[in-house]
Amino acid sequence: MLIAMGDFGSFYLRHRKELFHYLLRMTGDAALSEDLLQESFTRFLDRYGREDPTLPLLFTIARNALFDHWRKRRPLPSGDWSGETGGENPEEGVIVREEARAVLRALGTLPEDERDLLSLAVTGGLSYREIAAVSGLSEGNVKVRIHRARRKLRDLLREE
Amino acid sequence: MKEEWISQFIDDELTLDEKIAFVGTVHEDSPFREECLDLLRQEKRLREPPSRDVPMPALSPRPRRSLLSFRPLQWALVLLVAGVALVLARNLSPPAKEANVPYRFVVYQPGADRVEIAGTFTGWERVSLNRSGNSGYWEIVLSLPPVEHRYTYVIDGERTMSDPTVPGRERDDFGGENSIIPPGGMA
Repeated sequence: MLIAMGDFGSFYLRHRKELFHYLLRMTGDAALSEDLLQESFTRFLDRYGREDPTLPLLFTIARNALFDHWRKRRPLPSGDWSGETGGENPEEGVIVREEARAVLRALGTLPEDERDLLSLAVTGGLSYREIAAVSGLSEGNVKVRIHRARRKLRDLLREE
Repeated sequence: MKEEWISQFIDDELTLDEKIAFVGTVHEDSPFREECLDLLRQEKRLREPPSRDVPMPALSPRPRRSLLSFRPLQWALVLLVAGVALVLARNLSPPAKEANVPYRFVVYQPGADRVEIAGTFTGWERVSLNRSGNSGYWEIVLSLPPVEHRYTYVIDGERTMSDPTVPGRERDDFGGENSIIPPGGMA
């Protein structure tokens, strides 16, 4: 007998897509994003259980998982923000839409903090206040940096 | 400040007073209006999901059903069902068999010495997962038919654990829970 999914099951189904796309915008790597998606939900459950999951907490955990990964793997891969899966057999992985690759490449050239804030704003449905809590910045700072990132992105996409 | 109104407008972060000022500025300031339109068009591209598919990772475990813990009445029921199934199998032509598909089972258990999986696809026999380097993850890929599957992880031969990323669950008869993957998988 199937039982009710519960809060966490609903939370997972509702937010895995936006978290995956946030990670994809941050990394440009579908295979890595899939691993980090999995690790994020695992860490969430290990540390906070199933009760009252919140979106800002999920994104905080995902960012930490991402930054942990980058710290271990420095230097950052650069110049290949093609959105390829990165695996040995890309046919088995998530395929990035062709028309999205230019945007991912442009995002990949933004400074990491601006890419992060803009990706949070466009992906997660988080308010500036929540993004401030997730990033540890002031709300005013978040507002300024997100707009700065958008303008830089516009200039980058014009150069494509 | 005024420039940032554009992003605040896009992100729905303007107060009512700011919205009044914003609309007035759009009306009066042509370069501002053009920048608004530029960034709104860009936003459409930016918010387009970069991939059509989103992975549904498998993760953690749940309580395990042990064959040894069946009670006599349950064994009788199992034998009865098995007998009926045998008769049906002899008298009915077998249905067309669907091709197996790979299922990847992954669980994060950095402190475990052994992680196993047991489910309908193993006859509830335990099958060991492979440790994934020093990452703390254990994983196994099994080729399974695209039908409903029920399973649990077993940690260090004792503790059972359900899969937190699989919303479908059932309680078993022994106080635990089994995860349920619907036919065709989780995607």
